[in-house]
Amino acid sequence: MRSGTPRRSFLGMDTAIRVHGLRRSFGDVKAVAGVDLEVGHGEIFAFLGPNGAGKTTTIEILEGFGERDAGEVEVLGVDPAHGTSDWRQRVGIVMQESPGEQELTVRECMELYAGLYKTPRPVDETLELVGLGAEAQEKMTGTLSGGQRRRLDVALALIGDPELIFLDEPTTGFDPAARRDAWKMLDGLRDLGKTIFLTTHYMEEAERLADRIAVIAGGRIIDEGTPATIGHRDIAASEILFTLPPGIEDWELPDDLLALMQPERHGGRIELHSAAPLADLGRLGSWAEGRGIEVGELEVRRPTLEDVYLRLTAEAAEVKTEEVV
Amino acid sequence: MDLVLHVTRFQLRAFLRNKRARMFTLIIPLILLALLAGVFHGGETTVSGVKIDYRQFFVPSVIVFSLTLTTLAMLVATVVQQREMGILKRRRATPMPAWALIASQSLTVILMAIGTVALLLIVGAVAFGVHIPADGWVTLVLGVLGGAFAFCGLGYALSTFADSADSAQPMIQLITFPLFFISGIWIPISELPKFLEIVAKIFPVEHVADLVHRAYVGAVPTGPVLADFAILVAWAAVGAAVASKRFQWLPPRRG
Repeated sequence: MRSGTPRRSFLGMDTAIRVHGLRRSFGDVKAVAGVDLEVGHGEIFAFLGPNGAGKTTTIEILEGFGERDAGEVEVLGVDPAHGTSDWRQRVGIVMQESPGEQELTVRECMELYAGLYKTPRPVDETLELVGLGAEAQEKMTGTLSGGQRRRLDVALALIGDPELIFLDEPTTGFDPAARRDAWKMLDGLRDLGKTIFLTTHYMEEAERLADRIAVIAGGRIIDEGTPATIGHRDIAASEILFTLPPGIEDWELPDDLLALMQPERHGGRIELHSAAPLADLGRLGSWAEGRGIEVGELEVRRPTLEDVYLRLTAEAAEVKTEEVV
Repeated sequence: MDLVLHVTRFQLRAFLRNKRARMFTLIIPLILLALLAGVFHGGETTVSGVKIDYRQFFVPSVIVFSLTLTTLAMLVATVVQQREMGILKRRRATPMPAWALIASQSLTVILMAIGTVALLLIVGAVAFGVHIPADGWVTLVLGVLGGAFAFCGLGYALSTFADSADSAQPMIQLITFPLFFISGIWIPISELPKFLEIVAKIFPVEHVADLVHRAYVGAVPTGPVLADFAILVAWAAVGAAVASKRFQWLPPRRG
C-alpha cells in the first residue's frame, strides 16, 4: 500500500510537527495503528479521513490531551504528553463545536483568555482579524450565530499569538457564504506565517486552503501529497462525459474510444476515462462529424479532490474487509 | 495566583449574570428563610445543651442549606457543564496550570457562598432579630470555610461521576436532600432516631450544620468544634484524592 511511501521533510523547513509510529488502542479497537506525519513551519496541513478513522485520537495526542501506546511525537520540539505551560503559550486550539463561555460578552471572553498568556495579541486587532465587529463584540457569547461563534473560537485560539494552530472542522455547519468568509480569515492566518493543522470534511476547503494533505483511514495514513498530486490526481485519467442521440448505440463508437468506456453510466451519460483527453476528444469529434451527429451534454473533467478522497477511503475500507476475511 | 484571581473575576461576573445561579444562591435561600423563620417561631429546641427559639434554629439552618447548594451543587453543575461544552478543555489548552484552574473555580464558588452567608446573616439579624453572639464568630468562620473546602473537594469528586449537566442535577439532589434531612437542618438532630444520627455524622453536612448552629449559640472553638472542622478537612482531602484519580478535562466522547 501507499502507506509505505517514504515521507520526506520539507527542504529548508524545520518541522513543526513530527510523528513517528504513533499507536493508540482503546480495548480491542486500534484507533491509531502506526501513523507517521511531518508538518513544516508555516504550512497549512489538512488531515482528512472518515469519522472513526483515528483523526480525533491523533489530534488529541498532538494537542497534549490524549495518551499514546507507542510512537514518537514532537510538536514544536516538545513531546505534547509533557507539554509545559511555555509550550501551551505557543499552541492554539480550535475545537469542534464549542458553545463558548455563557454570560460573558465576546470582548470579556477575549479579555479573560488574553489574561492567561504572557504576551497576548491585542484583543481589538484579533477580533478584527477574525471579522467580529464592534456590534458583535458586545454580544453575549450565548447569543452569537454559528458563524460568529466559530470566529470567536478562532479568535480565542489566536489570542496567545501561537505559532501553531489546530483547527478541528472550522466550518462545519456553515452556509456557503460564511464558509467563504472563513476561508478568507484563514488566508489571513497564512499571511501571518502560522502553521495550521486543519481537519475538515469539505474537500473544497482542503483544496482551497491546504499546502499538503494526508488521508487517514483505519488508523493509518493511506496517502499524502499536495491537493494537486494526492492519490495520483495529477496523472489520473480525465473523464469525458456525453450522451448520444436517439438511435445511435454506444457500441457504434470507434474501437479506441470503446476501450476507454466505463461499464457504468454516469448520470445517464457515457463516461470515458482518458489519459489523453484532447486526442480522444478529437477522435470523438471526427467520428461524430463522420456520422453527421452531435453528442449531447459534453463535459470533460479532471477528478476532483473529493473523487480522489472517496476512492482512497473506499480502497482502504476494502483492504480492511479483506483483512478481516 | 494573579491568574487565579483574573479567572475568578470573570467567573463571578458570569455567575452573577446567570439567572439559575442567582436563583440558587440568592432567591431560594431568602424565600426559605422568610418561610421558616417567619412561620416557625415561639417553639423551642436544644442545640449544644442551650435552649433556643425555632427562629434561632432555622436561620443557621438556611445558612447551611445555601452554603451546600452554592458550593457543592453549583460547583458540580458548573464543572460538568463546562466539561460537556469543552470549556474545561479550552482552558486547559491555555498556559494556565491545572491547579490554578481548579483553584479559581473553587474560589469562585467559595466567594459566592461567603456572599450568600453574609446576606443571610444580615437578613436573619435585621428581619428576624437572630444574632450571632460575639463568642460564636470564630466557630462560624470555621463552619463556612470547613464546609466550603469539604464541598469543593467533594464537588470535584462528584463531577467525575456525571457526564452531562442533565445527569448531574438529579445526582446532586439525590445526595444532598437525604443528607439535609438527617443532618439536623430541618429537624433538630436530637429528634431523630439514634442510628440516623450516626449515619449523619459520617457525612460532612451534619458537621457544617453543627458548627453553624453552635456559632449561633455562642460556642467557642473547643473540642467538638475542632472535631467538626477536622472531619470537614478530611472530607475535602477524600474528595480531592478521588478527583485527582478520576478527573477528566475532555468532553465525553460521543458515538
